[in-house]
Amino acid sequence: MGSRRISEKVLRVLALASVVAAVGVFAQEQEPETVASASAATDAAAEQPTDERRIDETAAKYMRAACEYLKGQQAFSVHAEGTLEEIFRSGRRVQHSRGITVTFRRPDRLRADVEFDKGRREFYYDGKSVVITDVDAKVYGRFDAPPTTEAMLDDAMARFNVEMPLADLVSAEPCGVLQGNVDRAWYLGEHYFAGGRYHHVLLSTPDVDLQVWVTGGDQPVFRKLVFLYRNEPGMPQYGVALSKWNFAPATDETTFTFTPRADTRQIEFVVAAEEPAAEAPADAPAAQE
Amino acid sequence: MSALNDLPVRRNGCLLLLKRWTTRALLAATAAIALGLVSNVMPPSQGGLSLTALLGVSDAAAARRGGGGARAGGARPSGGSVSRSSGSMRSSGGGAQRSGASQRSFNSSGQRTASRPSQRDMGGGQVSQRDRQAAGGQVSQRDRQTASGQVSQRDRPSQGTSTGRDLAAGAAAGVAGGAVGGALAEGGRGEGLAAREDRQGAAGDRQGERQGERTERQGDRQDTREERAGERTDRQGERQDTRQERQGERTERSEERQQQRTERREDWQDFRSQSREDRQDWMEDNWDEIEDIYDDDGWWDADCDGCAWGLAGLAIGAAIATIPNYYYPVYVGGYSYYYYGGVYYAPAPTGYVVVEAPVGAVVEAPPPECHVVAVDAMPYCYYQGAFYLFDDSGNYSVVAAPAGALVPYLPTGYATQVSSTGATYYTYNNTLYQPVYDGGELAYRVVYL
Repeated sequence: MGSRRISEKVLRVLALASVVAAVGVFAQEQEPETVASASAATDAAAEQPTDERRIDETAAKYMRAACEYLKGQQAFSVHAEGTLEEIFRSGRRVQHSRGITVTFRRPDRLRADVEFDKGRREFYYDGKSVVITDVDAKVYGRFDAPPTTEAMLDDAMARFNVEMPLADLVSAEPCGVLQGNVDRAWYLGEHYFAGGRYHHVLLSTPDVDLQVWVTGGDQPVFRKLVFLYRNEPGMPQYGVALSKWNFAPATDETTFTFTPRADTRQIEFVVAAEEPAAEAPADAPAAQE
Repeated sequence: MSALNDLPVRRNGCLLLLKRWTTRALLAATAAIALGLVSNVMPPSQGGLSLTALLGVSDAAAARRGGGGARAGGARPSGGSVSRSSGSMRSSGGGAQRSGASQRSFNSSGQRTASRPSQRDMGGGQVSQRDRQAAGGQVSQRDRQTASGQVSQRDRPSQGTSTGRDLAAGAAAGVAGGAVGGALAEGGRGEGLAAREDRQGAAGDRQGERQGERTERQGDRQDTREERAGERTDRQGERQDTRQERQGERTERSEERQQQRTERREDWQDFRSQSREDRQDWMEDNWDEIEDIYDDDGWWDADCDGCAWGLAGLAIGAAIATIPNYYYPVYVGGYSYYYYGGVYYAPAPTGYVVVEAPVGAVVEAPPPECHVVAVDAMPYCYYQGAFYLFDDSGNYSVVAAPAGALVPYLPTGYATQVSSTGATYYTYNNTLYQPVYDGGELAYRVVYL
């Protein structure tokens, strides 16, 4: 079991959570008794038996509200504390964490600061290029990028297998990516988390169970997400707590533009699916013990 | 005999005729001796034989002039010319066949055969005859001539024989010839001629011997050359076979390499498309064994890009007093190591010291937290700068770092180097690592110098 796989899934499902929840909510509101017919725009949905889909109306409502609110914001920043779970073959579990701060401005600015076991990593997108830098390692890489965030996300994945942190949160259609995957949705009530009470929703897809804590009121936002990967060995969980939502972040061009420090060296990106280079670059020094 | 009719006998009488014949005979004898020397000097194969044949013609002419080659003063086998043809001697004119009193002959290979039967002189003196010499009815003499009239004849080849009686009859048939023969038999001049012919005969013998030896040596050299040529041919054949074999082997290797490249590329493409599944499979396939060896405590799941735990290895050179209880002995290059959990310990004066993973080490299982990396479709298990490869024996071998491998972290104790262009590299255990971004994660690529 690879943690990378989990990490990517975590990120994907983090976005998926919003999408799925929103889809489920929307569907339930439109056709409470036949959720599948509302979200049957995809082939995947058509493959699912409609009689097995049960979407709670209240759960769908809160999920759709949070997703639509996020979609309507021109800029925001949020901090996420994620916990990734690794599992022994014996069944024992260990968690490790990473903190992510995302600053986003539509349509073409993005910044993410990540801190985790390997140190600090920063992502920059200024509408022209993407820069990733590992601050502690004092290295960075840069590649040219399309002029919109949406296109940049696709391009980075296609060319370099780069997936931006919490990418689906900044997508133009965060609720449209995984429509139809939710086959069950429950509203679990208002539950306590981190000094507050939030609407607690459980969504289920064929592979993932997702718990969502979402605020009510005028600014419905996600506060906590917990993913359970039911088909992975040991069924690991990934949890992320979202805080410090700011829909009017103080930003300027320096926020999204990377300026290398004097002691930071540029390194290259491995092109997706490229064959490993066997020869050292011409300027490579001799190896020393 | 018609020539005699032209002689001055008709004008000056018999005395004058005899005088002229005597003079002619002497001249002919001198010429015959001279030609005989030439013939002796020259080997038969080089012209001596043909000169003798010419003399035979002259003998015949002289016999005709001398009335059949008669000898005066005793029967001398003159008068009859000596013709040499296939070893037989026949007299012409007077018909006196030449006696083969003493005959030496050469066999076909150049070896000389000799037989020395004596021949009794038929007249006042014996004359050694030389078969190639005959002038005016004289018998050509060869070989040794003795004053006592013993004749040693040498003829090459000498299958024909003649008897003394024949010679006597020949002598009676020609007066002039007999006169000449008597003249030759008389006095020291005849002895000198015999001695010279003896020397000539001896020289001929030596020459024959040398010729035989030369022939033998030539034969030996020829044999040696033939043997060497045969050996050369054999060696050439062997070299040709070797070249063909090598060429065949090269062709096979080239084809194998090409096939391997093709297979690797295909495997690589397959592997790239299924790398995650392969990693998962690898862990599932090997985990039981790893777990059996390391127990299930204290080890984290492998292939954790984001995990920093479990990766902190002991620093190379660290000295410790004791090693883990369940160490595994490893022998590489005559040195002993103790292995456990990806760490190699070498004996030290006071305890043990942590060393780099020695290439060539074979262990039962790699450290369970190793990271599976793929290079040319070959999965390696990477841990702290060491690359483990599953081998046919069912064990894992530490191999040299494969170029192109992308590893998620640098081994503990790496060194940093900056190139002339400012690029940063890292080195560890003679391996150079180049930092790159792989899928948004910082990774380190093994590069060859």
